[in-house]
Amino acid sequence: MIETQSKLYFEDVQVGDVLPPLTKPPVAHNLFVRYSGASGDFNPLHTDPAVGLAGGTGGVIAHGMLIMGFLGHFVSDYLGGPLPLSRFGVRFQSMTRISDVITCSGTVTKKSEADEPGFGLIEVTIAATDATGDKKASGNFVAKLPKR
Amino acid sequence: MVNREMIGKALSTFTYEVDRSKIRELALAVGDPNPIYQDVAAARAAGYPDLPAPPTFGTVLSFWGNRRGFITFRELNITQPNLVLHGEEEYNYLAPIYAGDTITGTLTMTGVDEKQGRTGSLEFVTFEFDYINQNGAAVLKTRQTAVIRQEVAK
Repeated sequence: MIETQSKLYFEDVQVGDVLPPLTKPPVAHNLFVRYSGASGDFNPLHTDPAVGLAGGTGGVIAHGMLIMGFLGHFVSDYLGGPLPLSRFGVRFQSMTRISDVITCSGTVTKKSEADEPGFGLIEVTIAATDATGDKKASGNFVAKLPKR
Repeated sequence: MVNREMIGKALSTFTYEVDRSKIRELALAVGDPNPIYQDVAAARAAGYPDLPAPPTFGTVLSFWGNRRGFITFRELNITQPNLVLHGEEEYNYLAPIYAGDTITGTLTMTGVDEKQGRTGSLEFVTFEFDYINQNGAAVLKTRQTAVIRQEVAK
């Protein structure tokens, strides 16, 4: 088990720290098709413009989980891998459409002791926002970091 | 209306073999180039026994694993997938998942809440997925809120 593996130590993180933001390339229709195959979510709302129009979303929209996947990339980069994560949750607030440019951001809001000796917990508020400032998803994560 | 008699009942149990290719494919689809998700040698050099599952790999488990997804929707009387939006998603990570693991998932509908939205009545349906690995260890618990629109927004 390497649950302790992380490039980050508890002592290195302070409440108020701002994570390095991550800006993704503009989302494309092709990406929705690719994400459908990767995830297995073939709801045609994401791939077929006619279905999107009939469904009242004005054409195809991104999978919520693609946007959470962007946030997962952002979080994994910050933590040095996926294993320190203990909780990761978001609420989807608006639809992402073709050409939107998504930026992931986060701020450390809390530090506390973990049940396991030698570890501490950090809580980080996160959001995915487009270039106009429209919030697509927001939430937080909790990660368990080793102490030095 | 979503069938409320199914609240609290297990809707589906399924097994999924975590394959390196699906880990690579998901990481590439979300644009994460980290070699720990692509290259077994790089993952091992970083201390992992094999490619680790990226943070949102639960989506692959829930769709590729639970191949009854849209059938379950119909059984719940959710007949038009294009009227379903994703409201919330929460992951609780209990133990690592690696390529080579065999994961068993159980899907339960935990609640239905009706609210009035701008475009008519909306149903907020919560689902939980519980995942265990081949050793019987709980690895992941996810909670999902689906928002079911009753009609197309004008």
